[in-house]
Amino acid sequence: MSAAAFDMGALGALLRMAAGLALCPLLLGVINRVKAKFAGRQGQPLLQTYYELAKLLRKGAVFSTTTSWIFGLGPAAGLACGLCALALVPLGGQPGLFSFEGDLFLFAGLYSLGRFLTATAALDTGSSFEGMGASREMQFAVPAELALILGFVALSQATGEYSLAGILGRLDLARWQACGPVLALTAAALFLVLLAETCRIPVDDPNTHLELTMIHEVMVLDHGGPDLAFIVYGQALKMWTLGAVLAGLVIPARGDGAADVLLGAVWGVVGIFGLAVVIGIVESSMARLRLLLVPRLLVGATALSGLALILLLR
Amino acid sequence: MILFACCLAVFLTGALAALLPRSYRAASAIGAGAAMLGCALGLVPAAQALITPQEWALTLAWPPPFGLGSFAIDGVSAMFLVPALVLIGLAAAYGRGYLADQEGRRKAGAPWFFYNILAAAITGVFTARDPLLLLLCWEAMALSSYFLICLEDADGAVRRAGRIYLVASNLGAAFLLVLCLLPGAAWPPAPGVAAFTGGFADGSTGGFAALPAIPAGAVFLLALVGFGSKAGLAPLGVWLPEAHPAAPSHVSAVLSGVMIKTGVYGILRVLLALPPQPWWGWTLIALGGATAVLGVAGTLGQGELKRLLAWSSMENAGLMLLGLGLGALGRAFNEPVVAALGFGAALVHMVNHGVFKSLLFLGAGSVLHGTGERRMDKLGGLLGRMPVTGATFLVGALGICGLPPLGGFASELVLGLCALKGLLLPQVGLDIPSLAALAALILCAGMAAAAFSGAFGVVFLGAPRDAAAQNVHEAPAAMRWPMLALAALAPLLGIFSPFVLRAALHALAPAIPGAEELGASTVSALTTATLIFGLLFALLGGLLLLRGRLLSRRDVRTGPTWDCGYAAPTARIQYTYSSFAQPLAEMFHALTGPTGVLTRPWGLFPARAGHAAESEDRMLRGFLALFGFIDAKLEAMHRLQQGQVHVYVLYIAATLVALLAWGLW
Repeated sequence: MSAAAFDMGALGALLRMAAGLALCPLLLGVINRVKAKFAGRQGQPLLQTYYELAKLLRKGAVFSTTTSWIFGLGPAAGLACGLCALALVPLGGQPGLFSFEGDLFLFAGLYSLGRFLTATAALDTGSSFEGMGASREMQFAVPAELALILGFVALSQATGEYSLAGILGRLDLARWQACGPVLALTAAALFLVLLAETCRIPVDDPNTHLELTMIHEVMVLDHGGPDLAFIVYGQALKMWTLGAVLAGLVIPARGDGAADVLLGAVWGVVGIFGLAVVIGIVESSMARLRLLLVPRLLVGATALSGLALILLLR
Repeated sequence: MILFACCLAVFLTGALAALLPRSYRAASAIGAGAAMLGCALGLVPAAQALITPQEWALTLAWPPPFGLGSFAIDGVSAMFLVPALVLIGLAAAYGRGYLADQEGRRKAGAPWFFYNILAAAITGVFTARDPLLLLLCWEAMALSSYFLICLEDADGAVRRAGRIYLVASNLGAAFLLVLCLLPGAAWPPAPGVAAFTGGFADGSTGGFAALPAIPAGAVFLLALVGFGSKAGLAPLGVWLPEAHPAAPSHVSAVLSGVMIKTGVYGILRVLLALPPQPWWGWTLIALGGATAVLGVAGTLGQGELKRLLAWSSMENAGLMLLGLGLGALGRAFNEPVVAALGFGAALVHMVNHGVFKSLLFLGAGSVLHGTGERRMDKLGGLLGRMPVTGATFLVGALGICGLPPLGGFASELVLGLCALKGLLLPQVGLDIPSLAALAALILCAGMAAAAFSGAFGVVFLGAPRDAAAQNVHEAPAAMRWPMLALAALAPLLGIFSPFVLRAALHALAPAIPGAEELGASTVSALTTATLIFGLLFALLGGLLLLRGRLLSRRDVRTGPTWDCGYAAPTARIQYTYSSFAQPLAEMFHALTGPTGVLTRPWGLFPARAGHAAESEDRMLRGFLALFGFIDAKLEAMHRLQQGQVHVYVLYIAATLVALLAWGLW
């Protein structure tokens, strides 16, 4: 690869990252608008999350006397991990900024690190509610992470590649024709993981207002101001990043030409917003699961990934 | 070579010299000083062997009988020896501070005598080149560590733990005895070099031909049981969760960070020296996976910090065995990439786990030293009062969970990648074991993250739950700097992980030709990963700066934690470790056993309600039941033991007559 081509590739990856950074808060607006349509309401503005972020960044903060420096580390580390994961993820079959064999483990590991530090920040407040949230988050992460990695492994086996960019770059129409059931099962598993990781119904209800039933929201009860802005933005970024993987899997538009690269990116963005619409429909049409049933749902996602893998074993 | 001899000599003379002085301080200074000096001396030849792996033997002008003088450091030895010596030296420095408050209660001579003997024995195990010497060092290691574990021998629980350790250790050594004293045995066992000539029921002569399958398999099984019991292989590792918490913390750090690796070392040597069969790999992956999952499930049910760390050691030993299993399968199926990466992952993980687990045990020791409390649910909010211990413990916790950007992630990445490559190869017999290894690895990573975020959060964050956590002092400087040194190693191991992997592949190259080229793509993958680690650090620093600037001109106040309107919250309503881990422990109920006894409020005027959480070790219970059964069945043999000399003389005479008759017939 010549230097110019490399520069073009890196520039494209940076542009795709910039699109993610700029557009991810819009996803929450789309979901809320879909939910409002279903409920027959006008709904909040599409750009509401941007307004909220701007407001939070301008605010001060109240820190609990119980907390230590861990409390401030959690949100910043969570967002930093999300940004690094964005640098790894391909959009519309086009590679991210970094790509190497086994980067799927780093992708999952970065989220795991962010989760670890968010949970410790929650425990730092000494609140029993936040301890409860942290405990649930770490519990649900175990099957969710297993489902995510096994899903990636199934895709890796379906394509014979070891990196996210390689895997998603080779998932074209021919691959769907060759092993459609496997890819469909994996997509279903990844969708469940996405719902769990981004705290949507049926795993968690972002609009709930009873601390006892919350998972993610209750972990961040004590955060305010810039810290909360980091958390909200990090959450939107996580939805964008996982959505990019899922959109790349479901929409098999691939190509090497300059026009194809652009088209792939456009399809990727369209896919992510389509996913937001689907999440809005899911949230409008069903209630949150009982907490005790959530692990079963996630173990079910793991089973879907495992089934996809079994189909591929010769 | 001369430095290596000096290293062993310093350990041994230091051990004796520590016994001489009357003064407590002089004895501990001599003991710890000798251990540190010996480690520093030994590090030079070990590091040399790491860079240019060359076998050299310490041959004495006046060779002792049985070839007891043959030591050598090759690449594999060096990979184990370098971290071992670093950890033993740092733990010795820490131990001097840790035991300082024992002055007047006991003498300093014995602990430091045994510590130095342990250091020499471990060095010997990693470098011995003949079976008898290996066995000698192995037993010296087992006995000296037994005496170190039983330092607090006034405590009945410690004596019980020591006894369990001694029994497990000796049972394992019995298998090694057979392995090392079989006719023609060599260490490392060499195929086709006059090993096991004759003496087999099938009448195979061996000679210079390759070993027939059954004897090689027998060697593997002997090594698996003998070394595996030291490595903590389930179910033989029952001693591990008992002995580690009982030992003084700097000894726990050495036991977990170094000594259990001797078991991994032994199995690795056998796998590299003999041509493995596929079933060796399957056995290792099945047992390693079971050990890892049982170990990590065990961490969820614990109430004591050091016990939790001990179970986590078992988990990590399981992960190393998974690496060894994948490597063995790679060799058996002639897939050198899988072989190089599997053994390489085990070696890299060995280095990382040694550093992180030693750091965590030292941190747990500081907590014990500062609070006098072992149970996590009585602690809380220690970070403010013990800032160095808390921060270094967090580093260790992140590392042990295999999270980026620390070294633990690098080893899990290599292991995961090795399993992924094994899965994708068109080789029947390799794919399903690889998948199982991968699933066990991911499951363990998630559960370890849950366990350690809870343990760190409950012990160091929040509000103190009990008086023990309020009157706390930070560890003295002698204990702080070894922890800081280890914590500084953690990000270095992450950033320099490509070099660690390359060193491991370099060490494996004699056994797996071309290991370095085979692993080159993984080394470059790790190099790219370190770029992202750098990006992560930069982004984190940038975001923290941004946060500081945003908040600097704002209204920042402090207040109570949001209490949902409840007027009188106390520290007792915080989540404890048992409540934090309960949902996950419930999911793995079958592995962890009963986790709690609930006393429900009952009657019209309920008086008491309670919940006592205690997880039992089912493996240990199984062994105790087995030994009890054997004891009961052998009761009948008691009649033979009359305690009267003339009866015993009769036995001897009867045996002689029987043998004579057999010989004549």
